[in-house]
Amino acid sequence: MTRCRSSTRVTRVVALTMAVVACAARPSIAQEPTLTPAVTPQAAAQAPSDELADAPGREKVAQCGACHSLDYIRMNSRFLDLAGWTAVVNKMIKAFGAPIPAGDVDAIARYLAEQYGKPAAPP
Amino acid sequence: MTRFELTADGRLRRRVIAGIAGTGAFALTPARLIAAPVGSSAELGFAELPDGALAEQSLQVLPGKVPLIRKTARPPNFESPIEYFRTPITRNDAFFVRWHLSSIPELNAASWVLTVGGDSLQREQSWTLAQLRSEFEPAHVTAVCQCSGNRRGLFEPHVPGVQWGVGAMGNAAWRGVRVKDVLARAGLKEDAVEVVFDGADRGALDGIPDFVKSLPVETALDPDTLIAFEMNGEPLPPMNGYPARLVVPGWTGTYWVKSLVGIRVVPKPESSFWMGTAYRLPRGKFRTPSFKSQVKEANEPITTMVVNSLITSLQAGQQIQRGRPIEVRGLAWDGGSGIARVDVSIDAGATWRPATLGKDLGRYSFQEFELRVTSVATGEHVVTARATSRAGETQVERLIHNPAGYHHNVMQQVRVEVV
Repeated sequence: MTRCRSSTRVTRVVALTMAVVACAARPSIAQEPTLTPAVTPQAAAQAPSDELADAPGREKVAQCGACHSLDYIRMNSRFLDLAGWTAVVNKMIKAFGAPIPAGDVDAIARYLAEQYGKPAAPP
Repeated sequence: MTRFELTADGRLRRRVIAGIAGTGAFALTPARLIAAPVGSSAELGFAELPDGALAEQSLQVLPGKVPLIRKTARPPNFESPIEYFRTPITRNDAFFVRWHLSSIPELNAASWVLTVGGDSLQREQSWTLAQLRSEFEPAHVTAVCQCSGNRRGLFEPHVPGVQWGVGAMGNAAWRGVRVKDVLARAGLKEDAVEVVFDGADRGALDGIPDFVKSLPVETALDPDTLIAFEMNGEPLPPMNGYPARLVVPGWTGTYWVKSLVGIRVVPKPESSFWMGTAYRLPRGKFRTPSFKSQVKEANEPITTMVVNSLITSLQAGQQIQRGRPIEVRGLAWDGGSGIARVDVSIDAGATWRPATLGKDLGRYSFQEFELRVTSVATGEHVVTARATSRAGETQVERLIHNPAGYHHNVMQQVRVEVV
């Protein structure tokens, strides 16, 4: 893991995944900055967490944490449908070179749409 | 003590206008109850951020910074809270932070070297910071750096990306040397089309496109385009590109490459991801200038900022005692023509009156404006500001929607109540 850039706040599952997928990373030129919660009631009450909702597919989504914190996912909720999340995952693979197996795309997009997607319209 | 209420659509609001009661339909944890309402855009009179973004963000401290609103931790994307826009110059320690790639360089000014080369230069040359400082004439400019996606989170319908509120911007006095002077020393050839700037930031994995941006050669050669080492009289903060960054007054922040390490002058368009694919607008939707060598059939790169303003003195739902004025203060800026006027309305745009402009800090700077509206009747008033640039552009009433969420300059509508 010494050559990998890891977050101090990744969950165990993300850290484990990073050990598998992220060690092809370049040598680190710097550590990522250490985040210190501000001394405010707000921050004191909520240390940022990289936890994602516990549901089938979460372990595959943890791969995303190799390149970015998972707050990106929660921040982009809840307004994308399955097609929207599929497009995001494909962009990560095609434009950003995320080493996500093609076979995982559907499971990841489905998890994201179900846990962080646009709520279904009322009938 | 701060009060919190749940709105009908499940959003948590602080100091909600009296009369909107929570429905109680959502079970939120106590931590969220306390943590959520930081950086709400509805509180400022805009469309609200996505509920997930509002729930996620909180105030946190990066090295050398006051608490800023964390949008994402890695790479760090933090915006400035509204209180730092009550002065025309933004403090260094409150200036927003935006990185695309998760490996942030930790550069040393003593060993930093800028390498300048490319097919359209006569020779490759390198300078240390001390050499740049001693060999070139110093230059300075006061200019707004605003992320292309500032206010993306206010888009309706929402678009994916960093869900910025209003604070992915800042205004500083930048000091350094002119790009044109440095390129002249290396011998600029006549076939130069673009100047390409490379920052030291890198992706976590090898396949991630390096952050490289280009400018039209005439923009790079503009005397106000700087390699800046100082911001408001101090070295750049590490989170804002220490020891040197590009300053492109009028252009959106994506071109202001941080931790600059390389410049190439080339005879053809730069086609890599951050130019060829990202940071593009559909053609014909905006009247900003075209980056001609980069225009494609359907889209073209974002270039200069659109005219905009921000009211910083009022909050949605604020109650004002009858007999007291509504004090409307804020900032206005554009893509470099300068601000001609700011008009203020307290009746949702039915009638307008001119605001007083503050000191002119230059055409690229934030421009302060102020208006005290007196003798206001009891009841609700919708306060709006409308900036007009010296180029004759004004803010829009309705969002010009675009897929990447750029150029939001919809007028604010702050509902206040005189009681």
